[in-house]
Amino acid sequence: MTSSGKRFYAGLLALAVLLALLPLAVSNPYYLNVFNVVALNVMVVTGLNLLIGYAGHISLGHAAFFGLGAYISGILTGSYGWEPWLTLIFAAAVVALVATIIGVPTLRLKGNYLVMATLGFNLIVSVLMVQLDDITGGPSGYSGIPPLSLFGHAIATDQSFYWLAWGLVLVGLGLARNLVHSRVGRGLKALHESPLAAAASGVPIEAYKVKVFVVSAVYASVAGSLYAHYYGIITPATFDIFKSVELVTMCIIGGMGSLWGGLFGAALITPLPQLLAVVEEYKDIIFGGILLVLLIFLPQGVVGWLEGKRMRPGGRAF
Amino acid sequence: MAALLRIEGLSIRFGGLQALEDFSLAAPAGSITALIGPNGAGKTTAINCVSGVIAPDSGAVDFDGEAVLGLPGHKLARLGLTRTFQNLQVFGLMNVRENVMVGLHADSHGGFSAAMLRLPFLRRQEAAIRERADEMLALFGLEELAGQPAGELAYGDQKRLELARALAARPKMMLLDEPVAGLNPAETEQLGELIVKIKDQGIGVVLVEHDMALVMRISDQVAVLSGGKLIAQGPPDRIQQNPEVIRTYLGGGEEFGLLA
Repeated sequence: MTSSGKRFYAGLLALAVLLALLPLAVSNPYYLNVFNVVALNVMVVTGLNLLIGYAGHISLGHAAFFGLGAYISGILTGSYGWEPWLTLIFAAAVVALVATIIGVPTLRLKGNYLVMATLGFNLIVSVLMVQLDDITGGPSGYSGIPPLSLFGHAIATDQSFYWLAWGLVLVGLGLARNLVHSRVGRGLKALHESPLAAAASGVPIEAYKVKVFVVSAVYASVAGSLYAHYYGIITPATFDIFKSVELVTMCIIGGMGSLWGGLFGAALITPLPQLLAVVEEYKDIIFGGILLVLLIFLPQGVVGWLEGKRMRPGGRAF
Repeated sequence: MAALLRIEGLSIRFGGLQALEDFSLAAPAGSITALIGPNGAGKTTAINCVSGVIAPDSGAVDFDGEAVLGLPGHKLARLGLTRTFQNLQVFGLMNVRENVMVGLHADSHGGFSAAMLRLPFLRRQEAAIRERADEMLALFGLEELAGQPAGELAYGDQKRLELARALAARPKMMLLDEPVAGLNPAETEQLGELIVKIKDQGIGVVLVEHDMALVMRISDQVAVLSGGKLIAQGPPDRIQQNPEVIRTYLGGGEEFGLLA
Protein backbone atom coordinates (compact mmCIF):
# COMPACT_ATOMS: atom_id res chain seq x y z
CA MET A 1 0.00 0.00 0.00
CA THR A 2 1.24 3.49 -0.75
CA SER A 3 2.13 5.90 2.03
CA SER A 4 -0.88 8.06 1.24
CA GLY A 5 -3.01 4.92 1.54
CA LYS A 6 -1.58 4.22 4.99
CA ARG A 7 -2.17 7.82 5.99
CA PHE A 8 -5.76 7.64 4.84
CA TYR A 9 -6.60 4.46 6.71
CA ALA A 10 -4.78 5.75 9.79
CA GLY A 11 -6.96 8.86 9.54
CA LEU A 12 -10.07 6.75 9.10
CA LEU A 13 -9.13 4.66 12.14
CA ALA A 14 -8.50 7.78 14.21
CA LEU A 15 -11.89 9.11 13.13
CA ALA A 16 -13.54 5.81 14.06
CA VAL A 17 -11.95 5.86 17.53
CA LEU A 18 -12.97 9.47 18.05
CA LEU A 19 -16.51 8.67 16.95
CA ALA A 20 -16.62 5.65 19.26
CA LEU A 21 -15.54 7.74 22.25
CA LEU A 22 -17.76 10.69 21.53
CA PRO A 23 -21.06 9.29 22.89
CA LEU A 24 -19.31 8.62 26.20
CA ALA A 25 -18.54 12.31 26.54
CA VAL A 26 -21.77 13.54 25.01
CA SER A 27 -24.91 11.96 26.34
CA ASN A 28 -27.22 14.88 25.68
CA PRO A 29 -29.50 13.62 22.89
CA TYR A 30 -29.68 17.12 21.45
CA TYR A 31 -25.97 17.07 20.66
CA LEU A 32 -26.18 13.53 19.40
CA ASN A 33 -28.87 14.72 17.04
CA VAL A 34 -26.51 17.39 15.71
CA PHE A 35 -23.80 14.76 15.19
CA ASN A 36 -26.29 12.60 13.35
CA VAL A 37 -27.24 15.40 11.00
CA VAL A 38 -23.54 16.06 10.45
CA ALA A 39 -23.12 12.39 9.51
CA LEU A 40 -25.87 12.59 6.88
CA ASN A 41 -24.42 15.79 5.48
CA VAL A 42 -20.95 14.27 5.36
CA MET A 43 -22.39 11.41 3.35
CA VAL A 44 -23.94 13.73 0.76
CA VAL A 45 -20.87 15.96 0.64
CA THR A 46 -18.55 12.98 0.17
CA GLY A 47 -20.43 12.06 -2.99
CA LEU A 48 -20.72 15.65 -4.10
CA ASN A 49 -16.99 16.10 -3.66
CA LEU A 50 -16.33 13.30 -6.14
CA LEU A 51 -18.29 15.31 -8.68
CA ILE A 52 -17.10 18.83 -7.82
CA GLY A 53 -13.60 18.22 -6.55
CA TYR A 54 -12.49 15.49 -8.89
CA ALA A 55 -14.53 15.72 -12.08
CA GLY A 56 -14.92 19.50 -11.85
CA HIS A 57 -18.68 19.77 -12.31
CA ILE A 58 -21.01 21.52 -9.89
CA SER A 59 -24.48 20.29 -9.04
CA LEU A 60 -27.10 22.52 -7.44
CA GLY A 61 -29.55 19.65 -7.29
CA HIS A 62 -28.15 17.36 -4.66
CA ALA A 63 -30.78 18.38 -2.14
CA ALA A 64 -33.31 17.00 -4.62
CA PHE A 65 -31.54 13.63 -4.78
CA PHE A 66 -31.34 13.72 -0.99
CA GLY A 67 -35.07 14.49 -0.95
CA LEU A 68 -35.99 11.84 -3.51
CA GLY A 69 -34.23 9.24 -1.39
CA ALA A 70 -36.12 10.47 1.66
CA TYR A 71 -39.56 10.63 0.00
CA ILE A 72 -39.27 7.33 -1.88
CA SER A 73 -38.14 5.56 1.29
CA GLY A 74 -40.64 7.38 3.48
CA ILE A 75 -43.70 6.88 1.30
CA LEU A 76 -43.04 3.28 0.24
CA THR A 77 -42.34 2.13 3.79
CA GLY A 78 -44.93 4.41 5.41
CA SER A 79 -47.88 4.01 3.05
CA TYR A 80 -47.12 0.70 1.40
CA GLY A 81 -45.28 -1.23 4.09
CA TRP A 82 -42.15 -1.94 2.04
CA GLU A 83 -39.11 -3.33 3.80
CA PRO A 84 -36.98 -0.27 4.76
CA TRP A 85 -33.54 -1.55 3.73
CA LEU A 86 -34.76 -2.88 0.40
CA THR A 87 -36.57 0.39 -0.14
CA LEU A 88 -33.35 2.29 0.53
CA ILE A 89 -31.69 0.31 -2.24
CA PHE A 90 -34.70 0.73 -4.52
CA ALA A 91 -34.67 4.51 -3.92
CA ALA A 92 -30.96 4.64 -4.73
CA ALA A 93 -31.62 2.78 -7.98
CA VAL A 94 -34.42 5.17 -8.95
CA VAL A 95 -32.22 8.18 -8.13
CA ALA A 96 -29.37 6.67 -10.17
CA LEU A 97 -31.74 6.40 -13.13
CA VAL A 98 -32.95 9.99 -12.70
CA ALA A 99 -29.36 11.23 -12.46
CA THR A 100 -28.49 9.36 -15.64
CA ILE A 101 -31.40 10.96 -17.46
CA ILE A 102 -30.24 14.43 -16.34
CA GLY A 103 -26.56 13.75 -16.79
CA VAL A 104 -26.43 12.21 -20.26
CA PRO A 105 -27.67 15.25 -22.21
CA THR A 106 -26.18 18.00 -20.02
CA LEU A 107 -22.71 16.61 -19.37
CA ARG A 108 -22.17 16.12 -23.07
CA LEU A 109 -22.23 19.86 -23.62
CA LYS A 110 -19.13 21.95 -23.16
CA GLY A 111 -19.38 24.32 -20.24
CA ASN A 112 -21.15 23.88 -16.97
CA TYR A 113 -24.69 23.18 -18.10
CA LEU A 114 -25.05 20.72 -15.28
CA VAL A 115 -25.43 23.63 -12.84
CA MET A 116 -28.46 24.97 -14.67
CA ALA A 117 -30.01 21.57 -15.27
CA THR A 118 -29.66 20.48 -11.64
CA LEU A 119 -30.93 23.81 -10.37
CA GLY A 120 -34.03 23.44 -12.51
CA PHE A 121 -34.40 19.85 -11.45
CA ASN A 122 -34.26 20.79 -7.77
CA LEU A 123 -36.97 23.42 -8.30
CA ILE A 124 -39.20 20.88 -10.04
CA VAL A 125 -38.73 18.28 -7.32
CA SER A 126 -39.52 20.90 -4.66
CA VAL A 127 -42.73 21.86 -6.45
CA LEU A 128 -43.77 18.22 -6.84
CA MET A 129 -43.18 17.55 -3.15
CA VAL A 130 -45.56 20.37 -2.30
CA GLN A 131 -48.15 19.87 -5.04
CA LEU A 132 -48.56 16.08 -5.00
CA ASP A 133 -50.04 16.38 -1.56
CA ASP A 134 -52.13 13.20 -1.86
CA ILE A 135 -48.93 11.23 -1.90
CA THR A 136 -46.36 13.48 -0.26
CA GLY A 137 -48.46 15.19 2.37
CA GLY A 138 -47.81 18.58 0.77
CA PRO A 139 -46.11 21.51 2.49
CA SER A 140 -46.68 20.14 5.98
CA GLY A 141 -44.77 17.03 5.08
CA TYR A 142 -45.09 13.28 5.20
CA SER A 143 -45.09 11.56 8.56
CA GLY A 144 -45.41 8.10 10.01
CA ILE A 145 -42.20 6.71 8.55
CA PRO A 146 -41.05 3.64 10.48
CA PRO A 147 -37.50 3.50 11.85
CA LEU A 148 -34.90 1.22 10.33
CA SER A 149 -34.00 -1.92 12.16
CA LEU A 150 -30.84 -3.96 12.24
CA PHE A 151 -30.64 -7.57 13.43
CA GLY A 152 -34.11 -7.28 14.90
CA HIS A 153 -33.35 -4.05 16.80
CA ALA A 154 -35.14 -0.87 15.81
CA ILE A 155 -32.79 2.07 15.19
CA ALA A 156 -35.12 4.38 17.03
CA THR A 157 -32.87 6.37 19.36
CA ASP A 158 -30.38 9.13 18.61
CA GLN A 159 -27.69 6.89 20.05
CA SER A 160 -28.40 3.85 17.87
CA PHE A 161 -28.78 5.99 14.77
CA TYR A 162 -25.45 7.60 15.60
CA TRP A 163 -23.70 4.23 15.28
CA LEU A 164 -25.49 3.35 12.09
CA ALA A 165 -25.01 6.70 10.36
CA TRP A 166 -21.36 7.14 11.24
CA GLY A 167 -20.64 3.51 10.44
CA LEU A 168 -22.04 4.09 6.97
CA VAL A 169 -20.11 7.36 6.67
CA LEU A 170 -16.87 5.48 7.28
CA VAL A 171 -17.86 2.94 4.63
CA GLY A 172 -18.78 5.76 2.24
CA LEU A 173 -15.48 7.54 2.82
CA GLY A 174 -13.58 4.30 2.26
CA LEU A 175 -15.40 3.60 -1.02
CA ALA A 176 -14.86 7.15 -2.23
CA ARG A 177 -11.20 7.00 -1.33
CA ASN A 178 -10.79 3.75 -3.26
CA LEU A 179 -12.41 5.35 -6.27
CA VAL A 180 -10.20 8.43 -6.11
CA HIS A 181 -7.08 6.28 -5.91
CA SER A 182 -7.88 4.07 -8.83
CA ARG A 183 -7.49 4.35 -12.57
CA VAL A 184 -11.02 5.76 -12.62
CA GLY A 185 -10.08 8.46 -10.11
CA ARG A 186 -7.05 9.38 -12.16
CA GLY A 187 -9.24 9.53 -15.24
CA LEU A 188 -11.65 11.90 -13.46
CA LYS A 189 -8.86 14.23 -12.38
CA ALA A 190 -7.44 14.09 -15.89
CA LEU A 191 -10.70 14.99 -17.62
CA HIS A 192 -11.11 17.87 -15.20
CA GLU A 193 -7.75 19.32 -16.26
CA SER A 194 -7.76 18.55 -19.96
CA PRO A 195 -10.67 16.66 -21.50
CA LEU A 196 -8.81 16.51 -24.79
CA ALA A 197 -5.70 14.88 -23.38
CA ALA A 198 -7.75 12.62 -21.11
CA ALA A 199 -9.69 11.27 -24.09
CA ALA A 200 -6.50 10.81 -26.08
CA SER A 201 -5.14 8.80 -23.15
CA GLY A 202 -8.10 6.45 -23.29
CA VAL A 203 -10.40 8.00 -20.66
CA PRO A 204 -14.05 7.70 -21.77
CA ILE A 205 -14.79 11.24 -20.66
CA GLU A 206 -18.54 11.38 -21.37
CA ALA A 207 -19.23 8.10 -19.59
CA TYR A 208 -17.05 9.00 -16.62
CA LYS A 209 -18.74 12.36 -16.12
CA VAL A 210 -22.18 10.77 -16.12
CA LYS A 211 -21.12 7.92 -13.86
CA VAL A 212 -19.49 10.12 -11.23
CA PHE A 213 -22.63 12.27 -11.24
CA VAL A 214 -24.73 9.16 -10.70
CA VAL A 215 -22.48 7.92 -7.90
CA SER A 216 -22.70 11.28 -6.15
CA ALA A 217 -26.50 11.26 -6.51
CA VAL A 218 -26.64 7.78 -4.97
CA TYR A 219 -24.66 8.97 -1.92
CA ALA A 220 -27.27 11.72 -1.51
CA SER A 221 -30.15 9.29 -1.95
CA VAL A 222 -28.86 6.88 0.70
CA ALA A 223 -28.39 9.77 3.12
CA GLY A 224 -31.95 10.89 2.32
CA SER A 225 -33.41 7.46 3.03
CA LEU A 226 -31.57 7.35 6.36
CA TYR A 227 -32.83 10.84 7.15
CA ALA A 228 -36.45 9.81 6.55
CA HIS A 229 -36.24 6.79 8.84
CA TYR A 230 -34.38 8.77 11.49
CA TYR A 231 -36.85 11.62 11.79
CA GLY A 232 -40.01 9.77 10.84
CA ILE A 233 -41.28 12.96 9.22
CA ILE A 234 -40.02 14.81 6.16
CA THR A 235 -40.99 18.21 4.77
CA PRO A 236 -40.28 19.77 1.37
CA ALA A 237 -38.38 22.72 2.87
CA THR A 238 -35.58 20.38 3.96
CA PHE A 239 -34.80 19.61 0.33
CA ASP A 240 -35.07 22.97 -1.41
CA ILE A 241 -32.39 24.64 -3.51
CA PHE A 242 -31.01 26.42 -0.47
CA LYS A 243 -30.11 23.04 0.95
CA SER A 244 -28.26 22.38 -2.32
CA VAL A 245 -26.32 25.62 -1.92
CA GLU A 246 -25.56 24.65 1.67
CA LEU A 247 -24.17 21.28 0.52
CA VAL A 248 -22.00 22.90 -2.13
CA THR A 249 -20.76 25.37 0.52
CA MET A 250 -19.77 22.49 2.80
CA CYS A 251 -17.94 20.89 -0.06
CA ILE A 252 -16.05 24.04 -1.00
CA ILE A 253 -15.32 25.33 2.49
CA GLY A 254 -13.51 22.13 3.41
CA GLY A 255 -11.73 21.83 0.14
CA MET A 256 -12.75 20.53 -3.24
CA GLY A 257 -10.92 17.38 -4.11
CA SER A 258 -10.21 16.48 -0.50
CA LEU A 259 -12.46 13.92 1.16
CA TRP A 260 -11.34 15.07 4.62
CA GLY A 261 -12.27 18.54 3.49
CA GLY A 262 -15.84 17.42 2.93
CA LEU A 263 -15.98 15.98 6.41
CA PHE A 264 -14.59 19.20 7.85
CA GLY A 265 -16.97 21.38 5.84
CA ALA A 266 -20.05 19.44 6.91
CA ALA A 267 -18.95 19.40 10.53
CA LEU A 268 -18.36 23.14 10.47
CA ILE A 269 -21.48 24.29 8.62
CA THR A 270 -24.14 21.90 9.93
CA PRO A 271 -24.26 23.14 13.54
CA LEU A 272 -24.08 26.84 12.63
CA PRO A 273 -27.86 27.44 12.44
CA GLN A 274 -28.34 25.60 15.73
CA LEU A 275 -25.53 27.42 17.50
CA LEU A 276 -26.36 30.93 16.40
CA ALA A 277 -29.96 32.03 16.23
CA VAL A 278 -28.99 34.87 13.94
CA VAL A 279 -27.58 32.29 11.53
CA GLU A 280 -30.89 30.44 11.47
CA GLU A 281 -32.69 33.53 10.28
CA TYR A 282 -30.20 34.62 7.64
CA LYS A 283 -28.53 31.34 6.88
CA ASP A 284 -29.05 31.45 3.13
CA ILE A 285 -27.41 34.86 2.92
CA ILE A 286 -24.62 33.78 5.25
CA PHE A 287 -23.90 30.60 3.29
CA GLY A 288 -23.94 32.52 0.04
CA GLY A 289 -21.54 35.04 1.57
CA ILE A 290 -19.20 32.34 2.88
CA LEU A 291 -19.19 30.72 -0.55
CA LEU A 292 -18.36 34.00 -2.24
CA VAL A 293 -15.55 34.92 0.14
CA LEU A 294 -14.06 31.43 -0.03
CA LEU A 295 -14.05 31.25 -3.79
CA ILE A 296 -12.27 34.59 -3.94
CA PHE A 297 -9.74 34.20 -1.14
CA LEU A 298 -9.39 30.50 -0.45
CA PRO A 299 -10.47 28.59 -3.56
CA GLN A 300 -8.74 25.41 -2.42
CA GLY A 301 -10.78 25.36 0.80
CA VAL A 302 -9.59 25.22 4.40
CA VAL A 303 -8.22 21.68 4.33
CA GLY A 304 -6.67 22.21 0.91
CA TRP A 305 -5.07 25.40 2.18
CA LEU A 306 -3.66 23.68 5.28
CA GLU A 307 -2.29 20.84 3.19
CA GLY A 308 -0.72 23.33 0.82
CA LYS A 309 1.04 24.95 3.76
CA ARG A 310 2.23 21.64 5.11
CA MET A 311 3.82 20.37 1.95
CA ARG A 312 4.30 21.08 -1.71
CA PRO A 313 1.10 20.99 -3.72
CA GLY A 314 0.56 17.70 -5.44
CA GLY A 315 3.01 16.03 -3.11
CA ARG A 316 0.11 14.43 -1.33
CA ALA A 317 -2.69 12.62 -2.96
CA PHE A 318 -5.43 12.89 -0.35
CA MET B 1 4.69 -1.90 -46.54
CA ALA B 2 0.98 -2.03 -45.77
CA ALA B 3 -0.38 1.17 -44.35
CA LEU B 4 -1.42 1.11 -40.70
CA LEU B 5 -3.17 4.43 -41.04
CA ARG B 6 -4.92 5.31 -44.26
CA ILE B 7 -6.48 8.72 -44.74
CA GLU B 8 -8.69 9.06 -47.83
CA GLY B 9 -10.03 12.28 -49.30
CA LEU B 10 -10.37 14.27 -46.10
CA SER B 11 -12.05 17.65 -46.58
CA ILE B 12 -13.17 20.21 -44.06
CA ARG B 13 -14.26 23.78 -44.34
CA PHE B 14 -14.21 26.35 -41.51
CA GLY B 15 -16.54 29.11 -42.73
CA GLY B 16 -14.81 30.56 -45.77
CA LEU B 17 -11.59 28.66 -45.23
CA GLN B 18 -11.00 25.33 -46.91
CA ALA B 19 -8.75 23.91 -44.21
CA LEU B 20 -8.33 20.54 -45.89
CA GLU B 21 -9.16 19.58 -49.44
CA ASP B 22 -9.26 15.99 -50.54
CA PHE B 23 -6.30 15.10 -48.36
CA SER B 24 -5.06 11.53 -48.52
CA LEU B 25 -2.11 9.94 -46.76
CA ALA B 26 -0.94 6.47 -45.91
CA ALA B 27 1.33 5.90 -42.92
CA PRO B 28 2.90 2.49 -42.25
CA ALA B 29 3.95 0.91 -38.95
CA GLY B 30 7.58 1.11 -37.85
CA SER B 31 8.13 4.22 -39.88
CA ILE B 32 8.13 7.98 -39.44
CA THR B 33 5.78 9.88 -41.71
CA ALA B 34 6.34 13.62 -41.47
CA LEU B 35 3.60 16.08 -42.31
CA ILE B 36 5.00 19.50 -43.08
CA GLY B 37 3.78 22.74 -44.56
CA PRO B 38 3.57 26.45 -43.83
CA ASN B 39 1.51 27.73 -40.92
CA GLY B 40 -2.17 27.30 -41.62
CA ALA B 41 -1.59 24.54 -44.17
CA GLY B 42 -3.96 22.21 -42.30
CA LYS B 43 -1.50 19.90 -40.55
CA THR B 44 -3.03 20.12 -37.09
CA THR B 45 -6.50 20.06 -38.62
CA ALA B 46 -5.59 16.76 -40.28
CA ILE B 47 -4.35 15.32 -36.96
CA ASN B 48 -7.47 16.57 -35.19
CA CYS B 49 -9.72 14.90 -37.77
CA VAL B 50 -7.90 11.60 -37.47
CA SER B 51 -7.86 11.67 -33.66
CA GLY B 52 -11.58 12.40 -33.37
CA VAL B 53 -11.26 15.94 -32.01
CA ILE B 54 -13.09 17.46 -34.97
CA ALA B 55 -15.30 15.88 -37.61
CA PRO B 56 -14.37 16.44 -41.26
CA ASP B 57 -17.03 17.26 -43.88
CA SER B 58 -16.07 14.24 -45.92
CA GLY B 59 -13.43 11.56 -46.23
CA ALA B 60 -12.49 8.31 -44.57
CA VAL B 61 -9.88 7.15 -42.10
CA ASP B 62 -8.86 3.53 -41.69
CA PHE B 63 -6.68 2.45 -38.83
CA ASP B 64 -5.40 -1.10 -38.58
CA GLY B 65 -8.07 -2.23 -41.07
CA GLU B 66 -10.94 -0.54 -39.27
CA ALA B 67 -12.93 2.54 -40.26
CA VAL B 68 -12.30 4.90 -37.36
CA LEU B 69 -13.62 8.25 -38.52
CA GLY B 70 -16.01 9.65 -35.91
CA LEU B 71 -14.77 7.42 -33.11
CA PRO B 72 -14.15 9.32 -29.85
CA GLY B 73 -10.58 9.75 -28.65
CA HIS B 74 -10.69 7.08 -25.97
CA LYS B 75 -11.78 4.39 -28.45
CA LEU B 76 -8.92 5.31 -30.76
CA ALA B 77 -6.52 5.09 -27.84
CA ARG B 78 -7.87 1.61 -27.10
CA LEU B 79 -7.27 0.63 -30.72
CA GLY B 80 -3.68 1.78 -30.37
CA LEU B 81 -3.73 5.30 -31.80
CA THR B 82 -2.49 7.98 -29.40
CA ARG B 83 -1.38 11.56 -29.86
CA THR B 84 0.38 14.56 -28.35
CA PHE B 85 -0.69 18.17 -28.63
CA GLN B 86 0.87 21.24 -30.16
CA ASN B 87 -0.10 23.37 -27.17
CA LEU B 88 0.93 21.27 -24.20
CA GLN B 89 -1.80 19.28 -22.51
CA VAL B 90 -0.18 17.79 -19.45
CA PHE B 91 -2.31 17.37 -16.34
CA GLY B 92 -0.61 20.17 -14.43
CA LEU B 93 -1.95 19.46 -10.95
CA MET B 94 -1.19 15.75 -11.09
CA ASN B 95 2.33 14.55 -10.52
CA VAL B 96 4.56 13.35 -13.32
CA ARG B 97 4.10 9.66 -12.60
CA GLU B 98 0.30 10.03 -12.41
CA ASN B 99 0.34 11.75 -15.79
CA VAL B 100 1.95 8.71 -17.36
CA MET B 101 -0.38 6.43 -15.40
CA VAL B 102 -3.34 8.21 -17.00
CA GLY B 103 -1.77 7.31 -20.32
CA LEU B 104 -2.17 3.67 -19.35
CA HIS B 105 -5.93 4.05 -19.19
CA ALA B 106 -6.16 2.64 -22.69
CA ASP B 107 -4.29 -0.46 -21.58
CA SER B 108 -6.18 -1.24 -18.37
CA HIS B 109 -9.65 -2.27 -17.20
CA GLY B 110 -12.07 -1.85 -14.34
CA GLY B 111 -14.92 0.61 -13.85
CA PHE B 112 -16.50 2.52 -11.00
CA SER B 113 -17.81 -0.33 -8.88
CA ALA B 114 -14.64 -2.40 -9.17
CA ALA B 115 -12.63 0.67 -8.23
CA MET B 116 -14.80 1.54 -5.22
CA LEU B 117 -14.54 -2.02 -3.93
CA ARG B 118 -10.82 -2.13 -4.73
CA LEU B 119 -11.12 -5.62 -6.16
CA PRO B 120 -7.96 -7.75 -6.08
CA PHE B 121 -7.47 -7.70 -9.85
CA LEU B 122 -7.37 -3.91 -9.72
CA ARG B 123 -4.70 -3.93 -7.05
CA ARG B 124 -2.51 -6.19 -9.17
CA GLN B 125 -3.21 -4.09 -12.24
CA GLU B 126 -2.38 -0.90 -10.35
CA ALA B 127 1.06 -2.29 -9.50
CA ALA B 128 1.62 -3.14 -13.17
CA ILE B 129 0.48 0.35 -14.23
CA ARG B 130 2.91 1.91 -11.79
CA GLU B 131 5.75 -0.27 -12.95
CA ARG B 132 5.11 0.53 -16.61
CA ALA B 133 4.86 4.24 -15.79
CA ASP B 134 8.24 4.14 -14.04
CA GLU B 135 9.69 2.33 -17.04
CA MET B 136 8.48 5.20 -19.24
CA LEU B 137 9.85 7.81 -16.87
CA ALA B 138 13.26 6.13 -16.99
CA LEU B 139 13.16 5.96 -20.79
CA PHE B 140 12.40 9.67 -21.01
CA GLY B 141 14.77 10.71 -18.24
CA LEU B 142 11.97 11.90 -15.97
CA GLU B 143 12.38 9.49 -13.07
CA GLU B 144 13.83 12.16 -10.76
CA LEU B 145 10.74 14.30 -11.32
CA ALA B 146 8.20 11.50 -10.72
CA GLY B 147 6.61 13.08 -7.65
CA GLN B 148 6.53 16.66 -8.95
CA PRO B 149 3.35 18.34 -10.15
CA ALA B 150 3.60 18.24 -13.93
CA GLY B 151 2.65 21.91 -14.18
CA GLU B 152 5.85 22.91 -12.40
CA LEU B 153 8.13 21.16 -14.87
CA ALA B 154 10.34 23.00 -17.34
CA TYR B 155 8.84 23.27 -20.80
CA GLY B 156 11.14 20.69 -22.34
CA ASP B 157 10.35 18.20 -19.58
CA GLN B 158 6.62 18.71 -20.15
CA LYS B 159 7.12 17.98 -23.84
CA ARG B 160 8.88 14.72 -23.00
CA LEU B 161 6.21 13.89 -20.44
CA GLU B 162 3.49 14.15 -23.09
CA LEU B 163 5.42 11.79 -25.29
CA ALA B 164 5.89 9.37 -22.38
CA ARG B 165 2.16 9.48 -21.65
CA ALA B 166 1.26 8.80 -25.27
CA LEU B 167 3.72 5.90 -25.50
CA ALA B 168 2.86 4.26 -22.17
CA ALA B 169 -0.09 2.18 -23.38
CA ARG B 170 1.99 0.52 -26.12
CA PRO B 171 0.19 2.15 -29.05
CA LYS B 172 0.52 0.95 -32.63
CA MET B 173 0.76 4.49 -33.89
CA MET B 174 1.41 7.93 -32.42
CA LEU B 175 0.44 11.28 -33.88
CA LEU B 176 2.97 13.85 -32.68
CA ASP B 177 1.95 17.48 -33.16
CA GLU B 178 5.11 19.60 -33.10
CA PRO B 179 6.96 17.63 -30.44
CA VAL B 180 10.09 19.80 -30.55
CA ALA B 181 8.50 23.25 -30.94
CA GLY B 182 10.10 25.61 -28.44
CA LEU B 183 12.94 23.26 -27.52
CA ASN B 184 16.61 24.20 -27.73
CA PRO B 185 18.90 22.36 -30.20
CA ALA B 186 20.20 19.92 -27.57
CA GLU B 187 16.70 19.02 -26.41
CA THR B 188 15.55 18.72 -30.02
CA GLU B 189 18.38 16.33 -30.76
CA GLN B 190 17.51 14.24 -27.73
CA LEU B 191 13.79 14.11 -28.52
CA GLY B 192 14.57 13.22 -32.13
CA GLU B 193 16.52 10.21 -30.91
CA LEU B 194 13.61 9.18 -28.72
CA ILE B 195 11.23 9.39 -31.67
CA VAL B 196 13.55 7.16 -33.69
CA LYS B 197 13.63 4.72 -30.75
CA ILE B 198 9.85 4.67 -30.76
CA LYS B 199 9.84 3.89 -34.46
CA ASP B 200 12.39 1.15 -33.95
CA GLN B 201 9.93 -0.58 -31.63
CA GLY B 202 7.69 -1.02 -34.67
CA ILE B 203 5.37 1.86 -33.82
CA GLY B 204 4.14 4.06 -36.63
CA VAL B 205 4.82 7.77 -36.13
CA VAL B 206 3.06 10.65 -37.84
CA LEU B 207 5.12 13.73 -37.16
CA VAL B 208 3.83 17.25 -37.67
CA GLU B 209 6.84 19.49 -37.34
CA HIS B 210 8.33 22.81 -38.42
CA ASP B 211 11.92 21.89 -37.63
CA MET B 212 13.03 20.91 -41.12
CA ALA B 213 16.49 19.74 -40.06
CA LEU B 214 14.89 17.22 -37.72
CA VAL B 215 12.22 16.20 -40.23
CA MET B 216 14.74 15.59 -42.98
CA ARG B 217 17.03 13.66 -40.66
CA ILE B 218 14.60 11.20 -39.06
CA SER B 219 11.64 10.84 -41.44
CA ASP B 220 11.17 7.92 -43.79
CA GLN B 221 8.53 9.72 -45.76
CA VAL B 222 7.50 13.37 -45.98
CA ALA B 223 4.12 14.73 -47.01
CA VAL B 224 3.77 18.44 -47.76
CA LEU B 225 0.55 20.31 -47.18
CA SER B 226 -0.15 23.75 -48.51
CA GLY B 227 -3.47 25.54 -48.29
CA GLY B 228 -5.15 22.32 -47.21
CA LYS B 229 -3.90 20.36 -50.21
CA LEU B 230 -1.25 17.70 -50.42
CA ILE B 231 1.33 19.10 -52.86
CA ALA B 232 4.10 16.54 -52.59
CA GLN B 233 4.95 13.25 -50.97
CA GLY B 234 8.10 11.15 -50.91
CA PRO B 235 11.40 10.43 -49.21
CA PRO B 236 13.12 13.43 -47.57
CA ASP B 237 15.87 13.86 -50.14
CA ARG B 238 13.37 14.00 -52.99
CA ILE B 239 11.09 16.41 -51.15
CA GLN B 240 14.03 18.81 -50.64
CA GLN B 241 14.50 18.96 -54.42
CA ASN B 242 10.83 19.28 -55.25
CA PRO B 243 10.35 22.62 -57.03
CA GLU B 244 6.78 23.06 -55.85
CA VAL B 245 7.78 22.52 -52.23
CA ILE B 246 10.61 25.00 -52.58
CA ARG B 247 8.25 27.51 -54.15
CA THR B 248 5.73 27.04 -51.36
CA TYR B 249 8.29 27.70 -48.71
CA LEU B 250 9.90 30.56 -50.67
CA GLY B 251 6.49 32.09 -51.27
CA GLY B 252 5.76 31.83 -47.59
CA GLY B 253 9.15 33.44 -46.99
CA GLU B 254 9.99 31.06 -44.20
CA GLU B 255 12.22 28.18 -43.38
CA PHE B 256 13.87 28.02 -46.77
CA GLY B 257 17.27 28.15 -45.19
CA LEU B 258 16.56 25.01 -43.26
CA LEU B 259 15.37 23.18 -46.33
CA ALA B 260 18.56 23.75 -48.25
